[in-house]
Amino acid sequence: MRVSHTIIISCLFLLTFSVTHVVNSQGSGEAEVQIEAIVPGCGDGIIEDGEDCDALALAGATCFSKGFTSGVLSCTASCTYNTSSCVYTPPSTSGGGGGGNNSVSKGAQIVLSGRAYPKSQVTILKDAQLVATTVSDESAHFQVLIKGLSAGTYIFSLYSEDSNGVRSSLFTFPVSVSKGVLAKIDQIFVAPTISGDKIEVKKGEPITLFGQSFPISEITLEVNSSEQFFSKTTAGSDGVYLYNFDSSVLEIGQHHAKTRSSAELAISSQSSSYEFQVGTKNVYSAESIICSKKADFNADCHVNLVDFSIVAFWYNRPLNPAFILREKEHLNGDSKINLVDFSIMAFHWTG
Amino acid sequence: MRYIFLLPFLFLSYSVFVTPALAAVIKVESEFSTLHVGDIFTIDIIVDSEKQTLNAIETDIIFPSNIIEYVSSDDGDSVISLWIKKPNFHDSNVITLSGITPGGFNQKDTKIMSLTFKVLHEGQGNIENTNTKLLLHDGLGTEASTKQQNLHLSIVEGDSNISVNTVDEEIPERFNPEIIQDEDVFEGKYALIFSTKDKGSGMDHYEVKEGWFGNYQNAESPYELKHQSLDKKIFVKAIDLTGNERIEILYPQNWKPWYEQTGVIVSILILCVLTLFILWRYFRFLLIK
Repeated sequence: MRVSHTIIISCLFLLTFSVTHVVNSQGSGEAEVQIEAIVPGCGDGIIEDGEDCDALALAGATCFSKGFTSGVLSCTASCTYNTSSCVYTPPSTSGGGGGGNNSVSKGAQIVLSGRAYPKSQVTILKDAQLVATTVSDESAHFQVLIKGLSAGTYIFSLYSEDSNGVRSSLFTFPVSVSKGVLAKIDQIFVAPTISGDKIEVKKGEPITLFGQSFPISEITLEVNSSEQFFSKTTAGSDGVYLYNFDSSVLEIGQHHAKTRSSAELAISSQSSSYEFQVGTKNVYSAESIICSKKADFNADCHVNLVDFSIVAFWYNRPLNPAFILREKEHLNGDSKINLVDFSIMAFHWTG
Repeated sequence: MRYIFLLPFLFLSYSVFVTPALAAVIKVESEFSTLHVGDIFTIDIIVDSEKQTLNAIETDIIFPSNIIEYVSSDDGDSVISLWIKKPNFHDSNVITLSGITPGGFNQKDTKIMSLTFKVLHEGQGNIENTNTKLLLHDGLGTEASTKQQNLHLSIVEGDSNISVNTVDEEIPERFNPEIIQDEDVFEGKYALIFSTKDKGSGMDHYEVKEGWFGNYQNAESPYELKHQSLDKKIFVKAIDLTGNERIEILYPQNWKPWYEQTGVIVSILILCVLTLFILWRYFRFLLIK
């Protein structure tokens, strides 16, 4: 009889719970009023000072970069990260190796620190995947701790974004870490960003090259032509630099400019290159920063595993007409997917 | 002969004005070159970038299948972050691999991959690289000039005394599977993408299970999801070469916990009604009796 009572009570409980839940899920009939407060400046889709995110713009953050294992990161109405849909699942271990949990708890750690631009976002990739983001301080220094690494060699990459949203070139370096050891990589010097006011400059007129770097650093500008021209300028206290380069020394045709900065006896890696043409007229650059289409197949302003997977699907396969057009738009336009296309993708990678 | 005195000047001029072109070197290296039947040994595929920044590699490794057999590959310490083609054994004596390093690498001796072989018979042979492409990190995919260094093997009479004992207690690295939808991938159907590394013995393979009651199936990224309704929890298992596993769980956008699924609730209700009915019949039977 006791067993029967238990079954009856369990069933009644489940019945009550189920009915209650169904009623709740159908709605109680009462009207709910939601009030959303919108902070001025927040909600325009552009991340501004004091905002972690804005609408769909998440500054490259994901649930994973926030310490969760899966889920969907979103932005609250007050422009802070909403992690309520993020999920953390502890790793399950089994198999022949054994001791898996120990390896997690005794994992290696690494501290990365160095110079970027004042109050700029620094993105860190581990083996090509986003692992952390941080924001540099007003003096442009940053430091980030990455935990839970296995013993072994990692390829870390790092880039920053200037106040105009222009990304620096990717700075990549290998690091070997041992179990239970804290490794430190300091003196990282993020390359300056570089932009220009014109995409074509009339020969004899100046082209303005500008960007951002470490405050009060010395900027060395290199313009490549049949011969190389070097010029120097100094970044301001906000890290911004600007140089008017006289195009009269350049031949008619395509050229590119790169910069490197030095400060406190340290030298940065080289910036990405700014391509421009010397011709017969001035053609000004678009003011707003539009993401490069190069290798960005899903148009999310990032080149990462998603784009890699889309391209990998077509590796060594005949392309369909629609993908031939996309290949032309985003890669080298030879109507096939091979190692060259993946090399172009690796060059534009953002994680 | 009377102009022989010019030779040193010609040599000097050549040395000063003709600098050799940079050529990245791809090498096959091993601690052992003299082996015995039964030995299990490892070779490393190494690249010296010669001060150039490279970001992509593709090569075929040819081995003498009449004296050795392929056992396994290990990418645990590889500079390659993403494999386009993981070491792929075909044609009985060729292993093909290709991959990329976003951001590039510029190092003297960088490991691309370790390969393990077992010695079958006595004899001589070479492990060689062919069809090698090393591409510069220049945004154009320019092919770097490349030199090869092969490994000569000599299998002699004697007792086997070399073996590989891989101790790997680390599970594969954490990773973040994602669902993508692209008009040109699986005809626009939802696909799962994933990638991780194992720093111990290297990654072996992945398995995917859709829903709690589903079965794990071998999978490669991108993987076409069977449940396109995106309402089943997805388990992605990464397994390294020594069998250590990491399982990552992905909750698709239409997934709901059991107590929010109408079907489950209705099933519980029916089960309860049936149980109550059976109990009522049972008590009634007892009372009548």
